[in-house]
Amino acid sequence: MAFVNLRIAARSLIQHRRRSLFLATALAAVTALLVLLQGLSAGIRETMLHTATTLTSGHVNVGGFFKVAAGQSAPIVSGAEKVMEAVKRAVPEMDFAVQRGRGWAKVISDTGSMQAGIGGIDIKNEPEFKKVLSIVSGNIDDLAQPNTILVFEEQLKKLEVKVGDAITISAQTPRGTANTIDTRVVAIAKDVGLLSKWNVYISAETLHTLYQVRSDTTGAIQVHLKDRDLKKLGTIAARLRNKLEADGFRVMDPDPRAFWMKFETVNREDWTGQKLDVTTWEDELSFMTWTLQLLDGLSAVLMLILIAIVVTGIMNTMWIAIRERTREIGALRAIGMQRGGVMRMFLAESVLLGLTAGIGGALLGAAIAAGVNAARIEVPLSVQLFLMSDHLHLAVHPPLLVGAVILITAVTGLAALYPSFRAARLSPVRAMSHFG
Amino acid sequence: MKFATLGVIAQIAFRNLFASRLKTLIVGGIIFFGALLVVVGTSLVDSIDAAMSRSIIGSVAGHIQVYSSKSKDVLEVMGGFALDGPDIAELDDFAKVRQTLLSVPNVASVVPMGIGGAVITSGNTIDIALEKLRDQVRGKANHDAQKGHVRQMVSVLGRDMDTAKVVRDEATLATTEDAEAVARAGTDAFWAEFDKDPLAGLEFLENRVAPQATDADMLFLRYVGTDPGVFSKTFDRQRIIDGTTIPEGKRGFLFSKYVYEEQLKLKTARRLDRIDDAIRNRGKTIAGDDELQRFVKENSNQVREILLQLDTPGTELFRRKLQEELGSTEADVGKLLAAFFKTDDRTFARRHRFFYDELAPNLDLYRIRVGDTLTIKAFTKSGYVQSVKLRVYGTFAFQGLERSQLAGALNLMDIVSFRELYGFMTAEREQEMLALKAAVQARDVSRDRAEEDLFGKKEEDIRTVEVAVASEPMARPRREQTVDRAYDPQELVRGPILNAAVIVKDPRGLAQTMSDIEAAGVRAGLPLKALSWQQSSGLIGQFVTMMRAVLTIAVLIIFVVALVIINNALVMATLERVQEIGTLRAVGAQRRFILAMLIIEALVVGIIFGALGAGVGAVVVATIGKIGIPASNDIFFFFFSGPRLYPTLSTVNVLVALAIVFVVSGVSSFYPGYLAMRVTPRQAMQTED
Repeated sequence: MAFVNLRIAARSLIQHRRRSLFLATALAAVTALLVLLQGLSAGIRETMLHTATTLTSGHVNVGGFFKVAAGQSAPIVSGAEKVMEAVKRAVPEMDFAVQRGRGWAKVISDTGSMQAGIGGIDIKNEPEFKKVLSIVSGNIDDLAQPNTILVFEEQLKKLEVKVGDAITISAQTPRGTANTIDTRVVAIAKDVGLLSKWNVYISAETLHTLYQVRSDTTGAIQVHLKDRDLKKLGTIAARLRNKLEADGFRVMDPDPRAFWMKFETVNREDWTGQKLDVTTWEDELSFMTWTLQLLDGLSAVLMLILIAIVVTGIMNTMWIAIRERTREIGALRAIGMQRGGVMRMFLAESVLLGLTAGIGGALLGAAIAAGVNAARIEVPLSVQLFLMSDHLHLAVHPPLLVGAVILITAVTGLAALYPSFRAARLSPVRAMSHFG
Repeated sequence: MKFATLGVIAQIAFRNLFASRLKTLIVGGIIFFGALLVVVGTSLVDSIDAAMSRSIIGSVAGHIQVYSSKSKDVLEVMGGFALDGPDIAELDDFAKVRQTLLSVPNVASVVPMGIGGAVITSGNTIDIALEKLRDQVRGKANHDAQKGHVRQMVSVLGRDMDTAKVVRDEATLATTEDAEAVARAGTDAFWAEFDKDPLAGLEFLENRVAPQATDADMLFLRYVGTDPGVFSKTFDRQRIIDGTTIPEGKRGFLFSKYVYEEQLKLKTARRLDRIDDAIRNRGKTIAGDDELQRFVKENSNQVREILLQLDTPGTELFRRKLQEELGSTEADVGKLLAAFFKTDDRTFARRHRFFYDELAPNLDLYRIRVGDTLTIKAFTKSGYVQSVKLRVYGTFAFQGLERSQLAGALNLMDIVSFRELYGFMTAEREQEMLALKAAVQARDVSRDRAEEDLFGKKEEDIRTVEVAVASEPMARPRREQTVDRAYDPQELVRGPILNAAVIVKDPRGLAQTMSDIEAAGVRAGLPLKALSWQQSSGLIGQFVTMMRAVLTIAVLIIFVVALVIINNALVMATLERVQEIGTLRAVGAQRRFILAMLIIEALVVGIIFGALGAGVGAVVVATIGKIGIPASNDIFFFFFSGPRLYPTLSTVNVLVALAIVFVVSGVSSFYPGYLAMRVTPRQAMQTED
């Protein structure tokens, strides 16, 4: 029965190919647009995740603040090894974890200077970092030596240095005095999105000397998870928080902000000593994710308007089709087709149209996305802030395509529901004798 | 085609509109909403554009910003998203720059500028307490209570230094001398000595003990160095809120009121203000808003700041007042305050009033008061730390932008002090250097032995540059004169600047004026680059451009899809009328007649519903224009150039909407028209029924 319905539906669609084609074009265009917008949003998200987890964060982080006095805090985790052991016990899903020092300082070369986030990195224990960065010149392994620095291509505009040149780093130590160290550029890396504009890396040891802190401290323990566990980020972070507390560490209340935005709050709280702070990569990038929300909001409004227009078009077509085919409906009813059958017939027609157009549109969208990605289109600076990257990247994956097709098919089906219902209610006698 | 024919066509077209009502309604509906969207959308964007340009031009950017074309970065006066200022090359002689700029006919006035940022330490608690003690000692007042306060702080400091050992590298840990100094200040012997010679005791506390206290709050400030007089004349929305402006020829600092409230006000009071504002002006409730709940919680948790301000009588006073207000017998003031700040919607208004009426008069609400001296430490361009002491003369805000973070982020100082912080050689510094050189009888240093001669024997790579500490003994005796030092007005005009704001007479000729300025620069041998306010305000200025682009793309996509749908509806309507068209052809109507009939029909629908949509849109805009869109947070204050945006409608918005609708309905009738043209009289007759 279903098969017969589908055959009739396909036949009717082909018979009225002109109007079917127009409707299908509109539906396909909307699907393609939906795919592209969602691809853009997912692309930005992917870039963010990639950049963040390469440069400044793990999937889950155990950072924290050490307060010498109630009013003064430093982004330090003391007794890092002990914390690391506890983290390993609490997160069996862990792929690997690294320790990174955190700092903020003025970076000065012979010809220029800039403020930058300073990452203290133990390159021997960070194989992933080496894999993800592509080095333009120099050798990243040299970062194991003391007083060495890695900079990004973007920063060369200001610093104008090459491998082997000297860079001075000047920072305020927790005591409030300025301390400087001289470093040598050992590697220059290709940019990794926007964050690489203001991050440089020195060896963890050098960071300890710069800030005059003990070598068993670190900035944060960055825990990387396997991809399949990324969806459980929230539960893992919550569990880690509880387990650390159970192990006797003092843990801060969850606060979804980047660590450098928390100083003000932490400084005003009335405690001294160490507290740990568990965050996810999304928390550390919270100052950026509003662009995603904005984009998703705008896309939703646009899609809503477009779907409303398309629904109007479908209903219009259906009404006319039903009027034209009133006699056909009468005949079918007369030879024994039930009301449900009529309704299913019209619905099937519409769903079939939506499905075909949806698949076509989704494929078109995927093709455009592939083209855009391959072309590596450079975007102006103002857009870069929104994209987190200097070129356009659309992440179009199969689940997204399937979702778009299902949505469009469902919309066409729903739009056809009421006209089909009305068609089914026509009485056979009246329908047979209908003129026009 | 004759006029009479046109009349007939129009008549037929109108009749058809009513004949096929469904088609008319569907096509019309889509066009109606399209026109509505275009009118409302474009007038909103236009209004925001106009409001933002007022904000940006009126607060600091001016119409045009001029800076050196040799700079590595593009100038951004509003501060881009890079936390560092842009790298700008200096223009050596402002007098010459000004003269060159004023030679361009459209230039009305020129304001010298330099924008930078620095960390300030807002007086640590011991410093403040010591200052109070010194005043009392000087005034021969009874200072026992204050002495107790200081002694209490010294013991806290001793404990802090022990805590520090957990993270601090042993090698660089405060030397034993420092620890001994703190320990000594805690002994009874020291305080017995103090009573005999309070001034010597104070000297010891200020120089040896206070620097060990690390709880000074570090604030990052962005400031613009300028000629304060010219600045306030040019940016006439600037208003002095507290204190006075910086007197001519004097060095000084003006806080932006926004920074002053946000960063320097007692956080507890600031949070009370914000809760109060949210409840009264935005209709929020504490129970229904996460942020307000957080404020209440933070106020209740963070009473330390208030406790530190209280000396013994103050503590007693607070205990009494709070016990009375809360009807509690609790003796611990910290717990009393915590309970006091744990407010809900019912108690908030009363507590808020009680705080300001009863408690606040006994507290310092701002950590830096007007009239205080501010020490600003900045990294100069070459990386060493430069510090300058300035008197705070007052606070200012831009009218209508009081609550805008973006307009309120920049504080103000005289440009002579700015040059010093930036690392330019000022006339005064030069003198000082010469005097110093003469005093130490500087010897010539041979090049190959330079390092050893200057720094002693080669040390490890770590050099602690304690500029502030090193200069302290020297700066201290002449502190008073440093703060009030004046400068020669000539120095202001002649010295170097980073950029200059230009206000033009006629803003319409902006592009022309910009190229005139650059040309004048070439003639005068100055490397001048001109930026419009959109460009110099960086991302913020481009925000409108981006919004416009997003709107345009959205409208484009919407109308393309609408075009297909309308086209489809018209095709179907045409096909239903094959007989009618065939009949018309049979009675002698030409193909062109049929085509014209269909196009006019579509246009009539388009214009009637388009006009309706535009009309409703205009009413919507006018209504919003009366009520205004409230700025829901501080960012919108800047975009709206005030607390509310009052969008206005211009004829252009309506015309654009009508033009789009006209084109869309015209274009969508081509294909159905073409189909109709092919209908022959025979087809009409052949059709069954």
